[in-house]
Amino acid sequence: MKLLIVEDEPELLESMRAYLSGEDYTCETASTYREALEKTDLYAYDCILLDIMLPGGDGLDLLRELKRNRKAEGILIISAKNKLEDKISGLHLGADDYLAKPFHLPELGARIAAIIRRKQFGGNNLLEYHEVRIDTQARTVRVQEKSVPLTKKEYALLLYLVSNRNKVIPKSALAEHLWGDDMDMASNYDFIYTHVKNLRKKLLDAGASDYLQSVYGVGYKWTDQ
Amino acid sequence: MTLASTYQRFYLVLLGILLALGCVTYYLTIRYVLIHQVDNDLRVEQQEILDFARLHDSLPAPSHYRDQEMTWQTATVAPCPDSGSGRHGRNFQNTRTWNPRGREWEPTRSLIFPVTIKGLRYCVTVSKSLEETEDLLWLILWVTAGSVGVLVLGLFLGNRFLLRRIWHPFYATLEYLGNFSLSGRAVAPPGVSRIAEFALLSRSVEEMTGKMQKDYMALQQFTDHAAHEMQTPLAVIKGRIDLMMQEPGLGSRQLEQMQQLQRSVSRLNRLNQSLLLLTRIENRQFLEKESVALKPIIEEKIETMQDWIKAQQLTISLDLEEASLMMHPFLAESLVNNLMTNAVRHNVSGGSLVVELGAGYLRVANTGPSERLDEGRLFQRFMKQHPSEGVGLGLAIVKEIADLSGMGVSYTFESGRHTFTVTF
Repeated sequence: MKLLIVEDEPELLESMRAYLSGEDYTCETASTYREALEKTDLYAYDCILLDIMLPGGDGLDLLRELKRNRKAEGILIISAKNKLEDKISGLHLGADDYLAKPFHLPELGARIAAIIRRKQFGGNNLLEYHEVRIDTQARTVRVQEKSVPLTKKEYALLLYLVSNRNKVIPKSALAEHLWGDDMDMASNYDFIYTHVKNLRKKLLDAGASDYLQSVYGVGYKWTDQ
Repeated sequence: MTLASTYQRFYLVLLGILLALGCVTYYLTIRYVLIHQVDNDLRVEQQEILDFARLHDSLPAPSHYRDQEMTWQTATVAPCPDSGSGRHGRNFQNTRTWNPRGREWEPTRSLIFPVTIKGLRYCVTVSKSLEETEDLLWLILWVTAGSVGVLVLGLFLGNRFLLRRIWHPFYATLEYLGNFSLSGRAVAPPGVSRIAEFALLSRSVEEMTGKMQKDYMALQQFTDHAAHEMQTPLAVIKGRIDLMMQEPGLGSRQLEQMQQLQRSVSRLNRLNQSLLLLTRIENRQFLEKESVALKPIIEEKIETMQDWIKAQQLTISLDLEEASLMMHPFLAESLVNNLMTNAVRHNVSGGSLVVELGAGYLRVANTGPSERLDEGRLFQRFMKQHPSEGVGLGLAIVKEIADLSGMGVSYTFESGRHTFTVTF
């Protein structure tokens, strides 16, 4: 899967590239409006990560340009402004999602995975991880044909973890994903522990292997190693 | 009252007073002049009679010719004033006499003077009817009043026309100001007037509104840039820590420290977001209003907070009617968010949370610390009265949003319940 990261802050660009590069993605980068325009002209990408405050031009203009040329890429807007107007106009112009800075890298991973899933399979697809099968359309989970009833939160957790497989996901990232930014309380991590514990038990009961590892009490990792 | 009617009212009152004064003066003057004329005629007549008496040593026969009459009596029958008592003295009298021809009482001017003939004192009266004089006086008055009336009407209409025409640029400027919107597209400013004052006004207004719009844009840009400049380094730190956590071979101590760092970054981010929000509200960057239904926002928030509600074993009591209000949707969400997060965050185990939404009010009541909060400091920034993870801006934001949207927000503490009521 090919990604293009358009971001003018080199440090952040490098972090995103380092986190996303690996088994699933190959990343290319652009740090100016021109560079981004050239690359999108020459190559096709599965998803473009687009910072809308760019030197040399507005990211929204680039988005307009891409949409005019009927490029089929998924587009994730990244913005430091966190303004409702930008979000609305970005989505209105045809972006697939919007992410406000600062964000957790696993959140970025989950958003990209969701966009690519929707683009590739027309929104009707199965996400498989060994014997675990997630139907993201019906929002159901099966383990070897056995249905696993999950709560909303557990389902969201599972999807998030699988989308960021083999990575350490800090609890703070999980908390932000489940409850948003403004619910930061000390008890968050206890709730995450409870939800993760329940999810894990349900999957094990259904006969799945134990892919969910705890990382020293600060986070979790979904892995088969 | 409009400018034109104020002006015209003043003008009419002033004109009325001046005209009334003028009419009285005019009447008195003309009357004085005319009576003086009659008096002169009577004095000429007196002279003729005196001359006659000196020449013939007798009085002419009493006569009545046209509007003039002469009679005499011996002074013993009627008292007679001395002739020397002045030109305008009591020798002249205003009386009314019966006019048999006109069959009416006519105003008459008489001159009475003594004449001595052969040692006998006679009292002679010459009188002249004032009928014609009065008629003339009234004619003059009516003609004058007519012309003054036409003049006033002309002035009135002329003024009205002039007011409309001359003041047109002023009203155009007013309309321009009425249509002016800080965040909106610039409306065409009123045209330049030929009248120096209005031209100056229009120019000043144009310059002022232009500057306001520029300042507003600058402020907007400032918050955008401030957001960008602060959020980007935060994003770098957050990303770097996430990346660092992927390094193999990390111990629990390092990971825990990284988690601490993450929490601080999140806190810094929330603080930054809140300050930016306050700045944006103060800069009036949320002027667009639409009808926002509060009920779904509240229900969604309750759903998000389920874990906390369960963990604290809170009794939730909801009484939500459909209520919508005109405001920016983001602000509505922020208002509900802040009030309800506080109500859960500062609640006690086994406590309660009551949310009531009705026509014109939203009430959030929660159990919590047992003492009353200091109302004076409650809505101030960074005034946390109890230690919590909040940044201490939630209620300041609530207050700002309420102020901006023309809503009232109040706090009461009763039987262990902290209640915040927003009225709209």
